[in-house]
Amino acid sequence: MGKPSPGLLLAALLTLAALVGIWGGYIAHRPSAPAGGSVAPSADATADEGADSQAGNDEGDSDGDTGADDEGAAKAQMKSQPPALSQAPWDQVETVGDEGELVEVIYNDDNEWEMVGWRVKGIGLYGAPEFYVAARKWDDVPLFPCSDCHGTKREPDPRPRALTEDHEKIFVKHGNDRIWCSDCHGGKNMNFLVSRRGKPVDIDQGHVFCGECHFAQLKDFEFGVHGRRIGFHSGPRVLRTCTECHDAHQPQIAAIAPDPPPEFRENLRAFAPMPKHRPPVWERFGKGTAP
Amino acid sequence: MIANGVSHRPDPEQAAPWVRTLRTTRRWFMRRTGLAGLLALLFGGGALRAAADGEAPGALADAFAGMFQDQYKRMSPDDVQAALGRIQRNALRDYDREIEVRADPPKPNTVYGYAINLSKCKGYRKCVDACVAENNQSRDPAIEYIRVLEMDLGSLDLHGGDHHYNPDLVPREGKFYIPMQCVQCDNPPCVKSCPVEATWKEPDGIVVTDYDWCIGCRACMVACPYWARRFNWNDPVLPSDKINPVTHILGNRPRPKGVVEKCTNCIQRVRRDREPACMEACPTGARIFGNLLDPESELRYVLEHKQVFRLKEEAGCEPKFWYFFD
Repeated sequence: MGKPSPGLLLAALLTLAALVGIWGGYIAHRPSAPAGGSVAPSADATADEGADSQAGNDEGDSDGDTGADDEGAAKAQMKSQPPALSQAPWDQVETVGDEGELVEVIYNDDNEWEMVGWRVKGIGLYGAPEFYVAARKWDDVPLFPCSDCHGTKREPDPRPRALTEDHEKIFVKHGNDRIWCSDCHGGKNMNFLVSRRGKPVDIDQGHVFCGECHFAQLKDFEFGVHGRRIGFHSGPRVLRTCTECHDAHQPQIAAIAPDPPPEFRENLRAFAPMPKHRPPVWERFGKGTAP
Repeated sequence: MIANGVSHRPDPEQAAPWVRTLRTTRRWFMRRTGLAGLLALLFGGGALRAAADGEAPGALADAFAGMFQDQYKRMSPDDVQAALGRIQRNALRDYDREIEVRADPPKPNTVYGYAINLSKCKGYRKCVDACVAENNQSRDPAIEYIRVLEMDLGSLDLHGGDHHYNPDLVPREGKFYIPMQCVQCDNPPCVKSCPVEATWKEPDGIVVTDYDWCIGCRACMVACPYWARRFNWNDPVLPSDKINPVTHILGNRPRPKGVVEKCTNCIQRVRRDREPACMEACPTGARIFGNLLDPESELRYVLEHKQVFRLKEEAGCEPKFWYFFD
């Protein structure tokens, strides 16, 4: 074994110094490094543990307190949850006056602010973020207010029949012939819809009324998944009410003609249709005829 | 050209005298180019001086300044303003219509996403029409960003879909409809494929194109798995009365011939909080657009409560465009 050369010794020293430097840097910069950096981390840790255990043993009361706080937080969280269907949220619906709270709907069209209609604050039953509904009973519902005739000039006739006068264009095709006018309109004030539980519901809050049967759609509507939003993708939500798209008397939406298809570029033509798979064996050799 | 150490250039001394007078040596070429450049500088300088004096620059000055326009991300605010003015003047020259070009910056804490409810889409193609009208797309040859595929029920084979369907009435029995447009990938292959960095992803997640920097190589069209990019084969034909005068420099401003364009989620609208034109036009409410970073947005509700999927996820492009049935 020969005597190591000074150069080798120097190199070994340098390597050692570099390793120590790297280790020190790691200790100082690791995520949970104490303020003292690499100063006796193990001793600190044991001291902390001791203090923790002592506090846990001595202060039983404080533990109880924190538990109560947790319960309160849990209750607050539960309150913010939407009510369960079994709690009958319909009972919470209060009558909204005829005049409602009309607020201007304005939106920026081509960099100009213009008023396009009215909105009322929407009643939500599922804990959705605040929303408005585009009001339409005064502008779009023909012959509103209904009390001009019903209640003064003539009484509503609850018998199913072919409608005449003013209502001759209404054909009730809703709910497989199980629904007639008086199932939705009625009560003392004909200006309101009447809910299943006999409560008057403002026509501009019609979604609450429709949602008595179509509750899944109502939940999606309130969260903005079913239906259409007007104007903006962020900011105050103004939703189109159910009856802007669905005719409440004939909710089936008819098929319409599509807009024209895209043109072919010059000298190009349609792809040959993709070959279809053969019908499955049970259709080819079974009793039924293959499509 | 020198091969094997031997020059193949004919010796000018041995050539005929008339060839000698026309010979194109490097020195001759440099001299001529320098002369042309000087002349151009004189012209351009005059034009720019005219602009500084308050007169509107002419077509020549605009063409000259446009030639030296930098890539959008490297432009200073002054450069951007100058470019907006040029675009407006060019639109007035080409289409006889005064338009407004903006350069709205992205909003902070915003990443846009899109979702489509395929149970609701009926294939009316209203979104396609609204898109063409909003985004100043060429009418001849017709460019449409949105492609609505008519698919057989029970299949998600996009190649089996037909986007030229034209029945009397839609929806048809046994079919469903998938609208496809740019999905604004978070990992966009079109951006990677662009050799000149003319397309990039903005901080709010919209993939945009600098139409003045695009060289028209169409590498991005090849790279896109969603068939979302369109090429201007001819000078766009755009009737003056059909132009949408509210435009964005990275969006629906009039485009020149020979550049690639695509859906930008209506960048000129959504950066001012308005809905994209396709969403506003959809009569069924199938389209849902919003900010992915806003936990109260409708889009987040869809992603958290519906069974969403994306097309061609295996391509790894991370599209911000979801589909769902409900």
